[in-house]
Amino acid sequence: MVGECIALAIVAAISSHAQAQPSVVGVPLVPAKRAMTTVQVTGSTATLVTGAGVAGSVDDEAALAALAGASAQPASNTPPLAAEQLDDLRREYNGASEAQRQNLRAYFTDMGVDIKKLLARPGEAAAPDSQSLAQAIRAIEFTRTPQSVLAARSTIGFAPPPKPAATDFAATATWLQLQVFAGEWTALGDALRALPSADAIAAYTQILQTINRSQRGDPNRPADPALLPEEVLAIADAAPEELSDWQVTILAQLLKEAATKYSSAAMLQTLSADTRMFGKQDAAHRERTVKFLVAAGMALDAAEYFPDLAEARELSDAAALVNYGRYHEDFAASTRAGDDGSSHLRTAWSLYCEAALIGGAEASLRQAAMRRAIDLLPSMPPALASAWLKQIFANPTLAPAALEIIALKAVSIRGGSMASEARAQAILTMKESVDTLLAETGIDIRLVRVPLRMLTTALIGEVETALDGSADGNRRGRGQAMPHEMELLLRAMPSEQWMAALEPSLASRAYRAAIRLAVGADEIDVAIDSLAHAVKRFPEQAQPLANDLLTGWEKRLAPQSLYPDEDQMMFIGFARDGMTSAPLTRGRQRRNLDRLARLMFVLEDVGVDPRRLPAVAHVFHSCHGMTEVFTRAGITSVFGPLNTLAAVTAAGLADQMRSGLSGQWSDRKAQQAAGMKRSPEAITQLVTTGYALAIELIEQAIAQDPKSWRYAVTKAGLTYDRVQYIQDQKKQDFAAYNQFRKEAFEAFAQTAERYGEIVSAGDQRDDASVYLAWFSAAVGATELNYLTRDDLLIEGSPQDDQIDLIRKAIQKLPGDLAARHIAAFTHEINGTLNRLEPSVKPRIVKHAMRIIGDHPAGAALRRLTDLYQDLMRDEIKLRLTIDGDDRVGTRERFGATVTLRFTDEVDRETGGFSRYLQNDVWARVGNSYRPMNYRDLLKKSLESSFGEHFEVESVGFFEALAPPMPVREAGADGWLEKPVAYIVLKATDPSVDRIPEVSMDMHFNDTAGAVVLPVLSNAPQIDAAQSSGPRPVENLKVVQTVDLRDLDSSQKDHAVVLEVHADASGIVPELEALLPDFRTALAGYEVAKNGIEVRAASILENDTGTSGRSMYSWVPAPPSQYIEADASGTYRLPSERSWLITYTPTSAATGHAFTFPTLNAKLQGTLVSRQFSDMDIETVTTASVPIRPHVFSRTLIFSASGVAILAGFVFIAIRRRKSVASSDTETTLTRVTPMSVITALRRIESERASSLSANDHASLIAEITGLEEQYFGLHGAGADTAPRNGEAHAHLREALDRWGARTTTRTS
Amino acid sequence: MITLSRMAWGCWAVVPVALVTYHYGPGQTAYVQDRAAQLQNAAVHSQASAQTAQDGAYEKHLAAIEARRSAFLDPTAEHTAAATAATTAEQTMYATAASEWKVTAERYQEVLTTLGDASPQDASAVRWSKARASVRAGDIWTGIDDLELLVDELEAEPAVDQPLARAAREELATAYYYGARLLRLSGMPAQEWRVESGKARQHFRYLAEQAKRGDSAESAADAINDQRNLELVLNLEQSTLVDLQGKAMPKDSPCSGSCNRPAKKPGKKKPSGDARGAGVAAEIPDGW
Repeated sequence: MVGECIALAIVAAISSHAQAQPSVVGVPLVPAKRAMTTVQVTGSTATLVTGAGVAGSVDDEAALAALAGASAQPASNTPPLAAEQLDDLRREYNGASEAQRQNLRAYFTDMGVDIKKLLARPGEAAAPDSQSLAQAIRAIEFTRTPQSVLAARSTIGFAPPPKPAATDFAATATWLQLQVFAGEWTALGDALRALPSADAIAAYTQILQTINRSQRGDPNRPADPALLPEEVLAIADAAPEELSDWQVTILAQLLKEAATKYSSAAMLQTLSADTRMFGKQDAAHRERTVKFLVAAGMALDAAEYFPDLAEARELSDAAALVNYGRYHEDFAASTRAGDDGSSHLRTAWSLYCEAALIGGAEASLRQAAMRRAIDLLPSMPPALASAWLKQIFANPTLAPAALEIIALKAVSIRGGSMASEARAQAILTMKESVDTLLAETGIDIRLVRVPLRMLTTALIGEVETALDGSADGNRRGRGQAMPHEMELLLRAMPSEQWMAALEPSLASRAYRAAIRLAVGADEIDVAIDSLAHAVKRFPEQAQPLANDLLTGWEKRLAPQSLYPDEDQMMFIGFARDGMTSAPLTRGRQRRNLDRLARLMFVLEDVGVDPRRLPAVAHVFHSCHGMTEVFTRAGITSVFGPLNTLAAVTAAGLADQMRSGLSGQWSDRKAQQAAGMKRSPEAITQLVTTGYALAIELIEQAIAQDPKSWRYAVTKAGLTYDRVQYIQDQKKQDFAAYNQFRKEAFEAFAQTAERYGEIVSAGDQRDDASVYLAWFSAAVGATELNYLTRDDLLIEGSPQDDQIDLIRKAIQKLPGDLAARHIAAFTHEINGTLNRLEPSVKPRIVKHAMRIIGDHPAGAALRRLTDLYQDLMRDEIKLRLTIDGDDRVGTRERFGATVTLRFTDEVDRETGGFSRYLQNDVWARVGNSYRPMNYRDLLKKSLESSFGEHFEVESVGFFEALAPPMPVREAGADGWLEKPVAYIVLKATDPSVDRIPEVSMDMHFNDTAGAVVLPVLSNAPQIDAAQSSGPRPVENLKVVQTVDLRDLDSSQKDHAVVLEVHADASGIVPELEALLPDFRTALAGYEVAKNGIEVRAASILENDTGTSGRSMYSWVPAPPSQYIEADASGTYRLPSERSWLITYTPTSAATGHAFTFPTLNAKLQGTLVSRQFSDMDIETVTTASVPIRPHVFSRTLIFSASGVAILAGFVFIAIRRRKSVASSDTETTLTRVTPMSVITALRRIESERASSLSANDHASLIAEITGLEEQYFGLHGAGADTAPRNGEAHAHLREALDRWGARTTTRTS
Repeated sequence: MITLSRMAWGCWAVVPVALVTYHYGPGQTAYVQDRAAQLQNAAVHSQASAQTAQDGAYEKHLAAIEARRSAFLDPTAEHTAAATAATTAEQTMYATAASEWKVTAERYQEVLTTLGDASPQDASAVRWSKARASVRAGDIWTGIDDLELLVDELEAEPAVDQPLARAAREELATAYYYGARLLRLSGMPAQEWRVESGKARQHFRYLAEQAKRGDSAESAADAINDQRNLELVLNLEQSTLVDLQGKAMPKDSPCSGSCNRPAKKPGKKKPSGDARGAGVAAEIPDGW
């Protein structure tokens, strides 16, 4: 440890050296360009300190060896150090203390390097030692960085170095540097004041100039002197003499920077207490303080040092007024202003204006005041601003200066960070200022031409930026400006007087910008006015300017989507800020056409034939509503009589009409969407008239230019479209239609031949559009983007041969023309693909490939074809399987299973096929994501596939999330099978012998966007003339419930009801097959003809079919077990059926029991029998349930009535012989008691008294009385004398029998 | 005597009552049948006339084919003119035949209107005749619709009239064949005419299979005939368009017809409903 020395070196030197000698350094080094590493040599180790901290340590010898290696080259022989690195090393060396330098020199000398030579500038001798302190100080820098501050504090903390001798300049300079780095301002001030004045000033100057320098000379690294606001005051106070203005300015900069990081309260407090340089002690100090604070952006804090305003005004103190203005401006921007912000701002502006108009003030001050006033102009009331500007521009000295300021501001405004709308507002203010200037009479335009040019250039630049977005952010990048911005810019466009003052080259550009801007702001009338002015001055530019207007106008009328990919819209959300496109009403359409007609007149006035402009037909089209067909009157009003139309215009109009007629003009849905309530007949009338007009137009064009193959193509397309349209309206016989269509194709063929001749002769560049048009018509529509699956060319149809004819027509071209045209055709098809309906794309590609063949240009399409082939035929198969025997019978239900088979690879690459069994699946369709109801689509497709000879009873879907099962397909492994649907069908005619193939649309994405591929199934054969009986079922469960509760209800006809419910995997058999004996369940009852109510059959699905991705729907958890195939590999869904059988009574006797029907012996399943018991249902385990015959049946009532009547007769007859019967009654008492016997004896006495003699009668009465007395009398024998139980009974019985026998004998 | 006289007068007085009763009772049916019989006679006459015209048209058709062939092989002016003339004659004769068949169909319709619900058995036979006439008049799809309905109704009641049901199906198959052939000749794509030829094939196959199951000589003859027709359908499907254009049309086929075939009918779908209505013996949950 010889003491501490710090060697500063450039890592780049080490790095470059390390690259040469990697083994020497042995540490990874950052790239030379940016890495700057301090090598701190402490003792025997050197630490590489990077900007990010300690990176690693190396041996000091190695580090120095690296330095030595870097320096070992002779000075003349440039070492591997860049000039920048040498400068850095030089600065560090110069900044080192003498002791450190000596150490370094010793080390470098040991390495054989003379560091002085190394650090000498090219052409210089080795750096001499300083001859004066000023020189020594100028050789070092005082740039404070966090690292240097910390290092200095560390140095002083260890041992404050003594102040070197005054003669040691280098050491003194270094010592001063250390004080600056360490923030020892007092010591610094003392030292400076101790130095000779010249040295002190030089030192202080060097300190101020370098203290805030960007680090290491890198402008990208911001300066960070790490000063507190109060330190800035201390630096100021360290000044050896009074501060000059520039020093105050630098100190203000330091204060401004410090105030952004730290609080300035302490500094202000110090300031208010007066410091050496600042304070209120005198006017000079106050003035300096104001300057210092205002320059530091602290005008509010400087206010207390301001002179009195009235006094300043009296003295015409422009600087004070400006300072007051700054104060008010800052106050307005501060939170303290509250509602008075605008008032302060206006005061500030007034003060600036006042200062600017003070004649005796310094020009720079007035300019500054004027600049600030102009900056505030957009916020000022126009009347005030205008009045001030008039004052300014009335002054011949100030006017050019003001204009220059405005121009400079306009130029600088584009580079600023101002918002576009604010920028537009500022420009508008400037324009208004210039208008004020130009309105002044007597202004010499030559004096202001240059700033006027600059201002105009800036204005036009802003307009072009707003329109084209050449240099602005994202929004500008799309060339869209805010409506308000457009409006401001439009108002800011130069007036005619201004334009007249401009040079022609700039005026032309300005007119163009004005026209474009007016069109962009949808101010077509203004644009036409500008155009009118422009063409008056520049008639030779009328055509391009008019074309600009027309093109822009067309875009306004029919704006293209800003966001071609709707996906982006999902994330942009509601951020679309483009000017909205208003609906094109009839009134707006009329006004647009009027404007267009006016434009025609304007152009005609300057000798331009507007009808020859290429864009005019497009604008005419765009002026019309989306669903408005061109009319003869409309065309005539704009273009004049038809027979005067130029060929190009007529053809352009015809082409527009062709596009419209084959698209939205004839589309009723589009008409309805546009709010048109036209009837189909009205649309047909419009379209038919439109075709006639379009053909007339194109024929006129052809008449003018018979050799034009383009016109011929248009005509052929129109002819074909008209034929198609008429056929779609079912207006002509197919044979006639076929003939017309052939003629249309013949026109295409002739046109292609004509084109072939022209191109073969070299008069035409390659253009495949004729073949593309022919191809488009052949595949179904002249506008391919309108082509639908229904209109698409079908292989084998009559026009299928057109594809071959197109191919032959191209191949007929001589030489390599054929190959070139096939390539061009391929290019056209490729460009069309992404606009096609996804469902037509595969077939379009297929037809195109018939033309392209094996041409190399068709490689991309060939890949697509292969992909489609793989997906549709080779790797995805739709299989339709009959569940059970193929003898399905007529009008008998049978099941068919649709399964999807696919390879592992397709499953993996396409994300599976579960989505086809779900609804509400978010999927990409075309350019957008939308919820797709795949399950519903598939159901619709299946239902529509079976033709008219099948009745689709129900369609059920298997679980969407059921995993596909491995299966062998055509003997090959690697296939998976996923059950899709189970369909219950009925053949409606015995002649049906096959199930039609079903189709399933599959949605994929290919290289050209979305594509829909229809996958077709097999068509299994069936025999509908024969039936094999019940279809196979599994897990059959039958529940039958008998309801006998109405058996006694005459209101319900004593009906017995049997409810049968059956469910099973597969098709539940019919009732007769399920329960063959159900008709004989109850004797005396039958099943009437309409006694069976068959409830609708249904398939039971485990899955709701709703996607889990649905945002608002609750999705049930997937089932724990999925349906599996049976032993035969057939998947079937469970189904259920139910019947309500009503048994009604017949005349036969009702049986005693209801015998439950039994399950067909041929079926495997369970049968549960139940019966209603009041409101409960009880399971019955016996084969039958007993029934209680109803007692009030009609038969029973009749029988009972008969019996009753008979009984009545019998009763009457018997009554006549009642004595015999009655004697029996009395004597056959079932219970002999004293009461019953006495009663019986009394009855004999009363009823048969006539048959008794008087004695007997008296005896009977006596005996009755005796018995009453004996058993019930108060004075009788009573309980004591009454015979005992057995004796009494015998006694009573004897009396009864005796008297009974006596009366009977007498009667008989 | 007086008694006899009174009885005679009494009987005579009853006669008008009997007559009135008959008039408003069985007499009406007899009148309708009588009127229908008269109309049917007219229709049969018209049918015979139409058939004669059809035969004539067919002869002209054969002659025209021959003339066109001659003109094709030896395109002299004479042959060309002869071909043109023969074609014109053929078209004229077919137009006449079609017109006659149309009248026949209308007359059969009058019979049907007259019959009303009086005699369903007879009405079925008349419907068959009317549909047949419609097909031959060129209204193929109208005839097919009528025949499909008739076949459905007859086969729903198997005991009604098996020979008529068979005849109706034969006529239906024939109509499909004519339709498919005309569609193809008019240039319709395969997916259009194959649907119709497929139906013709199915019906002829079914008829042939049914006839083969019979054990009568008549059944055997029917089986052979249906088999032959089936082969004709297959020929239609497998022949090229050029071949077909060179072959004579079937004898009773119209020369041209409305090719505006009704749109493809989708599979009939039964309205689905939940079978588990109230009162059905499903498990009753807790709480009852």
